[in-house]
Amino acid sequence: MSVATQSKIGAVRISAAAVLILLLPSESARADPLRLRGDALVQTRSPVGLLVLRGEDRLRPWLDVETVTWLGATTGETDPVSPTGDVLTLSVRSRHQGSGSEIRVGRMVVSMGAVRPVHVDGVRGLGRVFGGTTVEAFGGFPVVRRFDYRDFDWTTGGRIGQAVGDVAAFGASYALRRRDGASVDEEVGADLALTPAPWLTAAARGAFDLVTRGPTDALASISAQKDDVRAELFTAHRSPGRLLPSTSLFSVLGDFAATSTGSTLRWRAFPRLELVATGSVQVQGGDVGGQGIGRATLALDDEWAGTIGLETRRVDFHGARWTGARVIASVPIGLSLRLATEIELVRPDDPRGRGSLWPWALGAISWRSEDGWEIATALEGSSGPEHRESLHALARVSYAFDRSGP
Amino acid sequence: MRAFGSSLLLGLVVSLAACASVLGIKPRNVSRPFEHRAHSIAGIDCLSCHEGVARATDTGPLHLPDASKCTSCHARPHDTRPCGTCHGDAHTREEVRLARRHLRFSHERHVPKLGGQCVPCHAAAGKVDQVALRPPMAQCFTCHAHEGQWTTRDCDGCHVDLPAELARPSSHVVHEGDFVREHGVRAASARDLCATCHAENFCAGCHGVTTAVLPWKLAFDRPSLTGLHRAGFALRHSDEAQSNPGLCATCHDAERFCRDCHAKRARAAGVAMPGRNPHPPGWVRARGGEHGRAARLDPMSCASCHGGAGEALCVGCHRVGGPGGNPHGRGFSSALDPRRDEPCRQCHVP
Repeated sequence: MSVATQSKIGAVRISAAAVLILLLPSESARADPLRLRGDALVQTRSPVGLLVLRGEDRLRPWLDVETVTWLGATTGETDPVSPTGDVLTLSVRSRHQGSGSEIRVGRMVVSMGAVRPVHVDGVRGLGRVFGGTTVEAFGGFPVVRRFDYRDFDWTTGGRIGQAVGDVAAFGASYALRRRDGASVDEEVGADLALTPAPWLTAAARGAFDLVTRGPTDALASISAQKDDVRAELFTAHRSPGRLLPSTSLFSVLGDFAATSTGSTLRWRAFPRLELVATGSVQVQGGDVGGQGIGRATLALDDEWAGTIGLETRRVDFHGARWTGARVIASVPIGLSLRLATEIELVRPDDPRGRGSLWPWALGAISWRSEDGWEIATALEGSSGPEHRESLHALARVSYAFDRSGP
Repeated sequence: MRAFGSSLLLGLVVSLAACASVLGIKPRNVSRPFEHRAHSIAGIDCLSCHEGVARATDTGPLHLPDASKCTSCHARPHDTRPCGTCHGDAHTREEVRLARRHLRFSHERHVPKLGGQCVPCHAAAGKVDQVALRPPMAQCFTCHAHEGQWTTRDCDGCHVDLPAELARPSSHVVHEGDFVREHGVRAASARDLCATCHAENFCAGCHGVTTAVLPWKLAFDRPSLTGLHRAGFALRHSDEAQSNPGLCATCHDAERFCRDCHAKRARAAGVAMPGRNPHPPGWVRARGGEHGRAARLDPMSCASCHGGAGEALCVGCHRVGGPGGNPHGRGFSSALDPRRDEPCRQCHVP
């Protein structure tokens, strides 16, 4: 057995142990509420399972724990079936009920202000100081796939924010990531969210890279809603070179930032018909292009349990030029059965030997029981740049256990 | 011209009338709410019908009166069917049932504080056109303790499980339009607001570096869910990446995520691909060629195959004193030390 396979089996064992450790105290303490969800996806490519566990205790509302673990198997040339798995999150949170301050320890995704989210094994704290002021800080080791920890990899950062009622919230953030002892990213950011009126919202965030001394990415949007119409204007500015880790050779090529500016319009034309249109203009290094999406969704009932939809898309920017259409249908049959299908056709302007039409289709049927079981199966077929013909079968078995109610 | 306009208008009206049912614009069945106001004016105390509700905690029966309670006054019913068939909206009763399931609320603790009055909270009961009897959340915030919980995002005090409740956010954070694109901007300044409904695992589904299965793949039977990676995204992911420069790297570690997968599928530089060069003719010439400009516009595409050990290919020409010249763009600036830090050392240190 190869070393790699042994390490994968080890990862699976550690994941399973972590889940068991979590299960045992939760069950023995009869925590309320206790939630468990398991999804097993079997594909002809590779099977995977996702296990979600959450535990809270009404007697100790200041403490909760949660974990998401995936377990699976991959197929390779040397090993016919190779087990694999990893823990996505495994964290314990302690929260002060009065102030809302909290501390979380374990594996988690830290999203803090305008700096990029980071997946860490570490600690995150949030303190509510006074009058809507919040102070957040985190520190730890960036997660590497399959428990492949690296020496001298660490990350830290924080945010200080201020809320003004429900009208405004703004803050400043900082993050530092180091890999093998070298600085990968060092960012400062600022964020702002405004709701001056119930029908009007605006939000913006921007990050500045201290290593290459330039803006990494910035986004801003303003939206207004009246009755059944919602309109939004947005702009996004990204520097691909600065988004790469600064240890990459390709990060030194200089700044050719891309800017995308556009609008989204959503209109509930009729109680059962919704129309959405999005268009944007993109500019990068003297190149100008754009893309647009139009989507119509018709509900088959007043509760929108069943829908059919049509989406068209046109992309014309750099070397990416194509036109696509997608049709979806989801039809409930009785209370527990559902039929669904999704068909997509993409026509590239310049096939470059990759086929003149890239079709993709999926047909699915699912069944849901009242006691938390759900079974779904599907057939997926496609033809595209990578494969002339591809056919896959998928099956999913899910179980949700929720002992949160009275 | 006028006739044409009239015909068009007529056609539109006829079409809409024909499609009225499909579009959902037919009038709905008008429900008949229970006559709370009439009973109240008649001087009937709420507890006469909702017996025991003043002592109700957040568990136990719902204290909805049954037919026998009605017939205790209305001795000669005008219909043989149960009273609730017509008197009282089924929607209202369902609302009560859902409130019991999703809320931690004790009438026993609230009623004495209000002097046994029900109307201060259930104001809708006094209206002729009352539809919902469940008090709005704003009613709860008239109590200072609840105001504090709102500020500190401590929803667990009242809500058993917000995500399971499928409660629509009452604030400006609505998940409409293309919310997938804008959610990052919102989360930047109000992460703790998101956290009132979404647990850690929700973020990790996309932003976790160890994610093996994309969330949409698990929801393959729900095509109406929007998302970045739906349908045939994997087929054209290189085109998608080109059309949105930098977008992939906001979630994926472009250097490792792309390179690992490409190497596995023999699509990376250095992996044997006999006779296959994905670049067009003239990509690299003695005086540069197309590759320099392409690399500046889309450095992630280069890194997805030539990252890591593959960088040696670039260094061979672009090292200091090499034939490739200076690869830095105009105005390039960096806080890195050329003699100490990576990746500068690759070219700057002999």
